[in-house]
Parts: sequence; C-alpha cells; structure tokens
Amino acid sequence: MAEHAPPSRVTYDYVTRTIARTLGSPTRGYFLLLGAAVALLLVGIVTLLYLLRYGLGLAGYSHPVYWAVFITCFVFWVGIAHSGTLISAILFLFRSGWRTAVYRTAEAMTVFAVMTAGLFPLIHIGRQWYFYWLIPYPNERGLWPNFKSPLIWDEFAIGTYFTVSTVFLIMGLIPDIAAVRDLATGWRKKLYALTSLGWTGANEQWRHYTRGYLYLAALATPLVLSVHSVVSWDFAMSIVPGWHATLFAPYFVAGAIYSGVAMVITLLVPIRKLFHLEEIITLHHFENLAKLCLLTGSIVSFSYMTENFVAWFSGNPHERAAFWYRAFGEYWWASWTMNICNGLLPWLLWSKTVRTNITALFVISIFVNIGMWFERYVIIVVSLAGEPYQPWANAVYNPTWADWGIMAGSFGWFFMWFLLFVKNFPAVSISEVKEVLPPPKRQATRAGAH
Amino acid sequence: MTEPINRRRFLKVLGVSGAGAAAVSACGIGPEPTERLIPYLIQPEDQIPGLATYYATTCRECAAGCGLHVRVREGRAVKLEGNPDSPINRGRLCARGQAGIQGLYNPDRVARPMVRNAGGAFEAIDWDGALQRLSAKVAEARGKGIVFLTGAEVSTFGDLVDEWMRQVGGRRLSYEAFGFDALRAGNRLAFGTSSLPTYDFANAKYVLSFGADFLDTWLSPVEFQNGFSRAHAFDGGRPASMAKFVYVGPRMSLTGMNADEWVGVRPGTEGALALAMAQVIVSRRLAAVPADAGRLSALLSAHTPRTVAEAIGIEQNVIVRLATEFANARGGLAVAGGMAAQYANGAEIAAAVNILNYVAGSVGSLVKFGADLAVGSAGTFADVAALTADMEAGKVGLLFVHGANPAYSLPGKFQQALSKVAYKVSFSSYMDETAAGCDMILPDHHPLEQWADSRPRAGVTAFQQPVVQPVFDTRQTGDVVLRLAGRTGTFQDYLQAKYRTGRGTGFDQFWLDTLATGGVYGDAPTRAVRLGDVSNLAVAAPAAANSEQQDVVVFPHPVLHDGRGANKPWLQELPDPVSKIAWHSWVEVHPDTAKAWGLATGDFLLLKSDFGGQKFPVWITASVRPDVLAVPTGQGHTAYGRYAQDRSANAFELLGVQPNSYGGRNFLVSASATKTGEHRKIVTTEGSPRERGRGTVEVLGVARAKALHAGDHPFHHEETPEYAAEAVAWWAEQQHEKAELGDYRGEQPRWGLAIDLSKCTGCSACVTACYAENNIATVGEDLMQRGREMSWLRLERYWLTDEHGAPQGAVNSPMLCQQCGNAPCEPVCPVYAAYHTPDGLNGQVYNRCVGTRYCSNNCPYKVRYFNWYNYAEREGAYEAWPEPLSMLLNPDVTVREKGVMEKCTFCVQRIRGAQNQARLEDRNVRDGDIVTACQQSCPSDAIVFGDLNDRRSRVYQLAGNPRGYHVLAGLNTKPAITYLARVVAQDTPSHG
Amino acid sequence: MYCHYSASIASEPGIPSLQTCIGCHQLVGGSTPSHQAEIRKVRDAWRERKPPEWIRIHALPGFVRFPHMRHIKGLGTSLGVEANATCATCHGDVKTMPQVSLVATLKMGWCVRCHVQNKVSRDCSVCHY
Repeated sequence: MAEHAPPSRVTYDYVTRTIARTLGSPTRGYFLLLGAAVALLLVGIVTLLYLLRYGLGLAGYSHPVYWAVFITCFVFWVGIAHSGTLISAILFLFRSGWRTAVYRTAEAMTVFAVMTAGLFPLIHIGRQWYFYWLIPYPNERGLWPNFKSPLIWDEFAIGTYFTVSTVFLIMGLIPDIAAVRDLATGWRKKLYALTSLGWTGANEQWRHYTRGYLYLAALATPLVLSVHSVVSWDFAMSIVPGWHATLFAPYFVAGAIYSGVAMVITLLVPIRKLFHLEEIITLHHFENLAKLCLLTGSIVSFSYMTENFVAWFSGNPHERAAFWYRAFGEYWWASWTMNICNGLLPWLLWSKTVRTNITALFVISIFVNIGMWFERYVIIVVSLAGEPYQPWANAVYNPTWADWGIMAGSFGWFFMWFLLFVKNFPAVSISEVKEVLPPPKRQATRAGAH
Repeated sequence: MTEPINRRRFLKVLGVSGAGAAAVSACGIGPEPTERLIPYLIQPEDQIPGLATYYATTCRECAAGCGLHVRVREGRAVKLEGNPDSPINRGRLCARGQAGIQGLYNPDRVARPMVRNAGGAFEAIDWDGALQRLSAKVAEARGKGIVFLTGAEVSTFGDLVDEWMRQVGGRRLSYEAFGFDALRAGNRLAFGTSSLPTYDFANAKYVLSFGADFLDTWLSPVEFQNGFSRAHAFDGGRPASMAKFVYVGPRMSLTGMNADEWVGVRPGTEGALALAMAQVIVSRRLAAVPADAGRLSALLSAHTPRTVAEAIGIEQNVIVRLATEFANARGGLAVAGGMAAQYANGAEIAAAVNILNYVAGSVGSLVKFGADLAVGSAGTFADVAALTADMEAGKVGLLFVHGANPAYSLPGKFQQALSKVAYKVSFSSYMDETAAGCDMILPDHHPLEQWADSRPRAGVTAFQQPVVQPVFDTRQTGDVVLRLAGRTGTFQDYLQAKYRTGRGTGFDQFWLDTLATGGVYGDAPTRAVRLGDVSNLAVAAPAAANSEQQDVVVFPHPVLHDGRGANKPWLQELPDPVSKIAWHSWVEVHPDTAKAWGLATGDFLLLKSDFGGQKFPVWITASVRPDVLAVPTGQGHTAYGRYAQDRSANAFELLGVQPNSYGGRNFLVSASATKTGEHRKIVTTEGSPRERGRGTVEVLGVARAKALHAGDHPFHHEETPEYAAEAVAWWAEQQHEKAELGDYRGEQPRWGLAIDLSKCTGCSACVTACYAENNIATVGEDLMQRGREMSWLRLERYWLTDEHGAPQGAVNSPMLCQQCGNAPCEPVCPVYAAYHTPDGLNGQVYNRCVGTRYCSNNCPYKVRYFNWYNYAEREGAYEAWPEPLSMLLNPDVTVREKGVMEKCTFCVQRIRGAQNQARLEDRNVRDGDIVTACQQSCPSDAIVFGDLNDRRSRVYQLAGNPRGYHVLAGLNTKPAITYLARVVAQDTPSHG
Repeated sequence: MYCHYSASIASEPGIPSLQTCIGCHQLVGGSTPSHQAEIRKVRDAWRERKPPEWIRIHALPGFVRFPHMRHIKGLGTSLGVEANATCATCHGDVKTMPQVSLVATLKMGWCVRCHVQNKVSRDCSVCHY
C-alpha cells in the first residue's frame, strides 16, 4: 500500500490531535442526532409494552404469514453486523493497510448491530416472558431445547459472534484509549485511565498485544462466514419454497457483507465531515469500500439469477409458483425494489468517477441498505404469503404501526449506541493509522502513546 | 333437579372444578391465586365429577326434529351430538344443531321477565306480577281478537295452546319464514293432498333437484344428506353404484355444488323442464308409465322439448338426455323446493315435478305419502299476511309470539302492524326484533331446559327433557299457558298425562324408555295417491324482469337460515359453504355481469325493489346465472344480541308481503341494481379458488373409478424416492425407540383418519363440531378479515369445471392437521412443543409453546393457528366466551393463552379418555371406541377414525382403497390422513 | 373413598357435598375441643343450608390432566395396596392431619420423578392437552 502514502503534513502528532479532537465537547448538531435516536428508541419501547400487554395481534400478521417485519429486521441487522469483522479481521490478516482508517467505525457498528439484531427474536415470539426456555439449562422437568431446530443454532451463532466482536473491539481500543487518556482531563481522564487497563505502550505490552490481536483476528475470521450461514439456515432448513435452497449460506453471507459495507459508507461519510477527518479517511479508502461493495453486490445479483433459474429448471410446480408470485404477485413492487437497488445500482460502481464521488457513494449506499432490507422482506413475507403448497390458504399481509414502531425503535437503539461511542472513544484507530505513516523525526512529537 | 338457590352456588363451584377450562397460566408470573371451593349442598345423584352424563333430547333449531345426545359435565352442557336411535338424523348433527348450545348459554338471553313501563323502556318484573298483569289483559282482550303466533309447532305444546285459544276465543297461527306452501299447493294440484311426503334419497338411483336444497335448508337436511350420500357416494350404499345427481336452478347452492351436473335454467321455467322431461318419457315409453297417465297427454304435448327449450334457456337435446337418464335409472327421484318453490308459479312447478315422478313411477316407492312431514301443517304465508292486515286494522287486541320472529322476516310491515296491537307478549328468550316491539317478554326456557315433545313426521315422536338447570330466571311457556288457563300442575304433568292414557301401569317404564331413547320411533304406512286432473296446469314462467330491472333471488342462508342462527358466534364465524364468506351477507354476481357493470369483489351494490332497498357487497362467482343476482337472508338484524345486531343487510327488506296465488311468498323479485361506489374487504377464508393441480384434491371419472381394482394406485405420487428410503427407514427406527417411552397396553397404535371426498358435501357440520369439542375461539369479523380465524378444520372448496370452464359442482376437501409420520413442524420447534407422540400424533404442548411460529411456516398444509390475542380474557377486546358462554367450554381441553400455537390433535382428549377407560377395564382400546368430533357429526359419514396399525380397523381398510391418496405425498411427510378421491359422473373431470 | 367417591372411577375426585359430611359428623362430634369446634362449623353450615367455603390446597394448573382413577389403579397394582392407601402417595396421611397441607410440590419435576420410578409413560400428551 506504499504507493498510497498519505500527504506529508499528516504526522503522528497530527493524527493524535485530529482524532482526539473528535472527542471534544459535543456540538448542538450532535445532541439533535442523539435526541432523535433516543426518541425513536422510546417509540420502540412503548410499542413493545403494547405487544406484551395485548399480544402480537397488534402487528400485521395474518395466516399464513407468521414471520414478517420483525424477522426481516433481525436478518437485516445481523447482515449489517458483518462488514465490521470482515474489515477489521480478514483485511488485517491480508495486511491491507487501507483498513486502518475505517475498521474502528466498522467494528463499533458490528457490535451495536448485533446488539440490535439480538433483540428481535425475543420481541417476535408469542410469549416473550418465556424466552429463557430457548436456553439450555438443567431443570427438574428434564426438558431441553431441541438442538435440531435452526433457531437454537442461531442463538449460539449470534451469541458467539457478539462476544468475539466485542472483545475484538475493546482490544483494538486499548492503545488508543491510552493515547487520549494522556490528553484528557476530568472525568474522562478517570474513565480512560480505567478502560485503558494500565496501558503504557511498553515494548513488552506491544509484543503481547500484537500477538493477541493476530490470534483474535484469526479466531474472528471464520465467524464472518459462519454466523450468517447459520442465520440463512433458519430458512434453508425449512421446506418452504423460496427458503429451501442450498444456495442460501453463501448468498446470505455475500448479502450481509454487501449491506454491511454499504452501512459503513453511510456512517463514515457524515462522521468524516462532522469530525474533519478528510485527511485521514481519504477518497482512497472510500474507493476500496466501493470495490468491496461491487464485488459482493455482484455475487448477490448472481444469486438472484440462480434462484430463479433453479426454480424454473427444477420443474417443481411449488418452486415455480413461489418465484412467479414473487415477481408478479401482489408484492411485485417489493421484489423489483430489491432487484433494482441491489442488482442494478451497484453496477454504477464500475466507473471510477462514481467510486471516487463521495455524494454518489453516499446515495448508492443508502439505496443498497433499502434494497437489502427489502431482500429479506421478499424472502420472508412473500414466500409465506404466496403459499404455493395450499393455494387455498394464501393471504396478503400488511404491516401495522406495531411493526413500524418496533423497527423504528431498533434504529433508535442502534444509533444511540453508535453516537455515544464516537463521542467517547476514538472512532478511528490512532495507533494503527500511525503504523502506515512514514516514521517521523522523534522530536516532532510531544504527546501520544509513543 | 335442585332448587334455584342451590343453582347459583352450583354454577360457582363449576367455575373452579372445571379445571380444563382454566387458561394456560395467565402470564406464567406470580403465585396462583387462592381458590375457594364451594361444595354442593346435596350431591345430584346423576352427576359424577369428571364423568360425562349423556341425556337424550331433541334439537329444535329447525323443524326437522333431529335426536340429540347432550354431553353434560359437572352440570354443564358441553357438547351436542346426534342420537343414533333417532330414525331422522341417525346419530348425525348439522352445524346449526351443534350451535344450539350457544343459544342455551347465549350472553344476550333475556334473563328475567320484562315489561314495558310508562316511559316505554323495558324493566324487570317478577313472574307472579307479570302473570297477574297478563291474565288481566287476557280477560279484557276477550272478544277483541286474541292471536297466538308460534313457529312450526306440531306438538303437545301446540295442542295446549290450541286448547287455551279455544277457551279464550282466540286462534293460533304458526309461521315459518321459509314455508313450504308451494309444495303443499303443488301436491294438492297433482294428487289432491296438501301433506308433505318423505323422500327416500337413500334408495334413489338418480336424483334430480329442481332448486330443492335438501342438503342445507330443505325440510330435513341431516336425514336427506345421510340418505343422499348413501345413494350418491361411490361404493357408498350399494356396491360400486353411484346415483347421478343433477341440480336445476338459477344459482349453485350447497346442494347444487354437490351435483354432477348443474342445469342453470331461467328462473321460473323449472316446471316447463319437468313437463318436457315427462313428455319425453311418456312419448318414448321410457318407463312403465301408469295407466292413468293418459289424461296427461294434452298437457304434455303442449310441453315438448322443442316448444319449451328456448324459454328454459337450454338446448332441447339436453332435455331429452336428462329425461332418458332419469327414466333409465329405474329409480329416479325428482324433488322441487327451495327457490323453485318460491316463484309466483311455484305451486305449478311443484305439481309438474310431481307429474315427472309419477310418470317415472317413483311416487309411492321413493316419494312416500303417509309418513308425512310436520312442517306441512304449518300455517301458510297467506295466514300471516292476513294476520298482519288484521293487526293493521286494529282487529287484534292481544298478540302472543312464540318461536317466531316475523318482525325480522316481514320487516317494516309487521312492525307497523305490531304497534297497532293493544297488547303484545313475546315468549322469546332473546331480545329479537319482535320481542323488542312487544309490551311484555316472558322468556321461555331454552329447548335444552324444557320438557316437551314434537312430531316431526307421522310415526315419529321426539321428546325433550331438561338436561341442565335453567341458566336464567326463565319459565317454560307451557307452564305459563297452564297458569293463565287457570289449570293446575306443570307442563311436565300435562305432557305425561297425554301419554299416560291407555298405558296404565306400564306408563312409568314406557316413560323411562322413551327418555332414554329420545322418543317413540315408528314407521307410518305409505299411502297411495292418484293423479288428479292437471290438464290445465299453467307452468309458464312469470314475465322476465324488464331491461333495467334485475331478477334477484333471495335464498335462505345455509347456517343462519331465516336469521335465527345470527346470534350464535359459531355460525357467524362458519364460512358459508359456497361463498366461504362469514359475518356478513353478500350479493352473487356472475363474472360477465360484473365485467359489464365494472364491479369488483367487495364493491357495494344497491338493490332496490318495489318494496325496499338494501346494499350488499359483491361476490363475483360463476355459480350463478349471468342474468340473476342472488342474496342470502340471515343478516341485518336490528336487535337479537351483540353477535347479530347491525351486521350487514337484511335481504327480507327486498321482498313483498303480499301472498301469491297459492298463498306463498315470492322470493324472486325484480330490482334495480346500482353501484354505490362504496367498497369493503369481504370476510372470506378463500385464498385461491383454484387448486392448480397441487395435489390437494383428486378427482376420478365414474367409469375410471369403477375400473379400479384393489392394489391399484391411480395417483402416481412417489411416497419415498429411492435415495430417501434409507433415511426414512432409519427415522422410522428412531420413532420406534421413542415409542418405547409410551406405556399403553399392547402395540403402539398409529392413529389415522380416512376422508371420502365422494361423500363430503362441504356442509361444514364438522367445523362447528370441532369448535365445540376443542374450545376453539371465535375471533369476530375484524380479525377474521385479517385471516386470524382459528378453525382447526377448514373446508376447501374447489370448483369442478366443464370444458367451457363453467363450474359443474365442486370438490370439498376438509383440511386439518395430517398428523404426519415425518412432520415438518416437529424438528423446527426449538422447545419440543411440537413433537411426535408414541402413538403417531403430532403433539402440540400448549404450555410449552413459546410462539416462534416456525412450525406453521414449515407446515405445507397450513393447518396451525396462532393465538394473536388472549381470547379468553374477561372483558377483553376479543373475548370469545363472555359469561355465561364460557359454561360450554370442554373441561377436558386446555383453553389456549395468547402467544401459543394450536392445531388439531385428532381430539387427543377423547383418545386419552378411551385409553384411560380401557386401562380401568384391563383391555385394549377397540376400534370404534374413539370417535373424533368431526367424524361424530358428519351427516354423510365421510370421516372415519381409527388405528392404522390394527389390520381389522375400518380406517385401515379404507386407507388401502385404490381411490386413496395423501395430500402432497411427494413431500414425504407421511400423513396419517388418507383422502379417497372424489368420483364424478363426467368421464373426464377437470378441476382447478 | 367414601367422601371422594368418584376418585377411583373418574378423573376428578370432586368435592364432597355437605350432605356427605354431615352423614358422619351428625354422630361423630370429635374428641378434642379444637376438633369439636371445627365440626360444629360444619353442622351449623348444614343447619343454615349454607355450604362452607373450603380453601383449595391441592391445585394443578389448567393445562395439566391428572386422571385420579388411572393413578389409583396404577399405584394400587404396582404398590400392591388397596385403593384407599394409594391416596397418601400424593396427599399424605390426610386423616391424621389437623389441617390439610401439601406433602408434595405438585410441580412437574415431582410428577416426572414418579413416572420415571414406576416406568410409566413420559410422553407429554399424556398429561398436557
């Protein structure tokens, strides 16, 4: 990555100060955003209370559409959670330097996205107060969960992923916290002093640290693939036409990374502007993200084609009916939204001018997010509503305020955590950005971990 | 029976001892509340806690008089079932009968006597006070005209009323909204007798119905359906026989959709068709025509196929073909009724059909005069019209109304007339339209609370006995009448006195036996009838409606009938067997007409006749003639309780109140139809009307079916592909090991069901039976509109079409949990709430279910239903069992909480019950010990339950039938339900 | 078995009617003062034709089926004791109890343990439907 060496005025010192500045006292704009997030969260909480009191009937479900917006959101957020580990762990192993500027944001996003996703299975079940029956624990009744059920696999997959990505995030943070600790004053100093776990930057510590980080990265990597594969099996293991496909695991993983990267772009653009990180998060970084988008996006659109081909080629009347209904049934608009946002738009990224145009990228990334949400909506709702086995039982489902309320709440919950994070911890890795800088003259630096 | 003070407590104790009826732990949180147990003061000797007692009595939901066995647990009637001893329903029961219990425990019953106060509002009054007032009224009304209006009452109660009316110088009238005046007039015209014969469907070789809906509303539906299925079902009654059934009428009713052929003639021309057929038979000597048929020649020659075909609207060769088939069947039965008997020329049509039967030699053999039906002696519509006129003219000083609701079926007119009557008294135990217009209400006991008898047909006397304590402070009208007549004793004494005469000491034994069997069942001798002078029979159809007017057919709703069913949530939530619409009425419009008028399903159409106008949402269907619109009665009540009131529109509003030539009422009116621009989402359970060859239903032509031999497999579904064989074998082994957990005596059973689609008529009795047995919640119109109905058993109605795509009947397929041997729902449940029981059921453990709903998503039959709300919550928005309706909950079945999945488990409570009993007696469960609720009710015996591992069981035999197939067998779900393919008369049937 | 006469033939033991109580306690007056006091209540209740309100001690949730006759027969055969003695297995020695109290938790774990010991079915749908 040497040929992409950053401008010379970006020194260790500059890096530390710029990034440390992001932790400065919050502006009014920041508080508006945070306020909005909390407001959305409250909407979600109130909706949830209603669901608990009166039952899931408040949502739009109708026989046979028994999974809908809640599960859609669940898969959506799990998907979002993917790029984080990909960028931080996998690219780390590949030693691709450009990741350094963006991986912290991606990782934070991952953790909060999993935290969000994890709520939905609990919200969507009929008797939320018995959620703990899904957890294996010894009891006098001799009852255990059914390990044949993909839902139980899910529980473990998500749980593991959450733990590992959280540890990974915190570990990466340690040196940076130490760095800002040295600049901070007041309660923040106490906070950082505590959370930096007594980091001094001694060689000994660095040696252990880099080792540990490497192993952790190695450990996290397979999870990127496993988690969403397992999530996809929630569907693939069933016999519902439109769900029951061997393609699902790779298809879902690609889709997840696709949506994840898109979300990273969506988040980075404003942060970059807000915190004046233009010189640290450069066009070069965005272009690389865009390329990642293009790759995964292509895999996704290829999967769409495969799905339809297989449906036709199988000659199975139920499969055919399912996909015909998808494209031309009551929900044609949803499927076509999905095809256009995920299939066509990303092809713009072939052009370098688009890839290097922040505004264009921002807009495209938003559309990809929308498209990916609809992908899940189409897979889940439309496959059920079409009911190819029992034409008699098919139905049209319409979401209600309860569905939207919970969904809004999830966005509130996610952005609340994210905003709190970027204000209180370095949103860009100080130490790793420095790693890809040319070694400076020592006396130039006054502060910093080194 | 114990005294009322005791009763109140008695109800209380049930609240706690009816353990099963308690909901799955309210929220699973917090301690169980302290329960208090209030014991009986004195133990009723006929009640053993935990054991059901069965009482024989009679169903009074319609005039057919089916026998009942009422299942009583801890003093509560919890289920109605047919009485096998009754020659009428032979142990079967229709949906309306099943729902009778919801009349008993209806939350909107009139709980005590009411009287209108000065302010014009009803206020409660005690019985003695009420009766004093009333006797004063009777005294002063003498000579000013006293009238007692009853429903069809051919009974001791009727006789008592007659006696009393004679005593006070009044008269009794009986009124049925759908009378049989045309039939009686027709019989008078043809045979000189106005009595109604019984029809022997079971032995018919060919059934031809001119509008007679004998499967849903005509005369005695359960009896006729039972007979019909014997005759019509493939290898039903007689070996490999199948009586063809042709339905003639402007619209396809429940009866019509079971026809092998539908002849949609122009309304009113049925008579011409019948005569033309007779003409063919006589002129071609197709049958041994009776000697005296000669005098028909003039009439018949005027009705050759050529001359009438055009008017009827079908080709003449069709007429010739039908006539030939009918005669050659040697045992053709033609019936006229329903619509055909409610035109202005209904009497003539009935007469013409009589002639057809006569020349074909069916009168006397299949049409039996002598065993006459009681409804035949009900008053005519003309009588009621006359009464209305008298009331208008103030010639009626005192009016009693019992078991009839004329204010609903004669809207407006009767109500106005009612207000002109000095004093009117209703004995209704519901606040119906008529009661609401009266000055005093003396609520009668519900039929399940009273002593009574009735004579549904000559030779049969059906008894009623109280099966439960009166729920409210009501009093049997018989007792009231005796009191008013100044006589001593109760109606029970009066009734017994009737039968005591001539029996002397043998009486007590006779009485006990009769109460045990439910009645006195005998056969009346068949009486020969001779053809009268019919030479100048004018069957010509009334002038067709002019261009801007439309022919509108008003037909009785199959389950709500003349509106009396509308206050029972089971019947409201039961989809109409044809349209599959529930909770509101509709107007049937042919697709061509709809296209021409730019109508979509759900658009409102305003129908305006000369008598009134009403708005109905459109249901577009090819099962009605393009030039005809059809609307059902039953809805649009202005009173009659929470379930009926202000619901949709009352079709009676469209009808006139003038009796026609034969004293009947015209149900065919011409009306203007205008699109109002309003629209509603209709409440229907029908997703797609077409089966699309997905292997849900299979149909065979009769020729092909007859060619089948044991061991044939006409339906080539690979049950297990080679590559899966090994896996399935392994899996079966696993199941066997699991089965070791069970400890029932002997080998593990494998419960299964066989459903014969060639018997199923789609009448939906099984659906209501399932609601009753399994505490299934009714969710109401709003939720049902959103597809939230809970019905574990649904009837899927798929049209059979001819080469032009026009419907020729339908296949009805009861779809319920298939209890798969290899069930998709089981492996996906994360908590084993859905699991495989040792005896091969797909168990559903309600209290373990957390409600992930994955099981339903993975169920290819879509027969699992989710509790979106707590339907048992007191005062809850969707409360399904408001007090005292909750009394009919089955204590053996858990009432499900919100958030859990539920489904059919083959009435597992009945299975366990039988197993417990068998264990007590140290024996194995025998084939036939266990009868599921759906099987028990089925009037056509289409459903058989049993153990598939027992090679001697009926279900095992049927499962091996070559017509047998499994729905979606290709998925390798190994269902426990075997469907037997529908057999139709066409050789190349096409469906969906 | 005299008071809860249906227990050995039906799923529910039922609550003895007051008439049943008085049948014996007409004559049996009780030995200790406390007993006498209690029995007097019953007699008063009978005189006033006003059934006493018992407090329920042994209660199962609505979604559990406990067919008493099956257990009495089953235990009777396996333990080889006559019907009356089997009651004590779950209800304890009620006749020596001054006031009835639970001797078993009546929770599912307790049910299962017994079913395992006596090698009877543990299939869910035996008790839950």
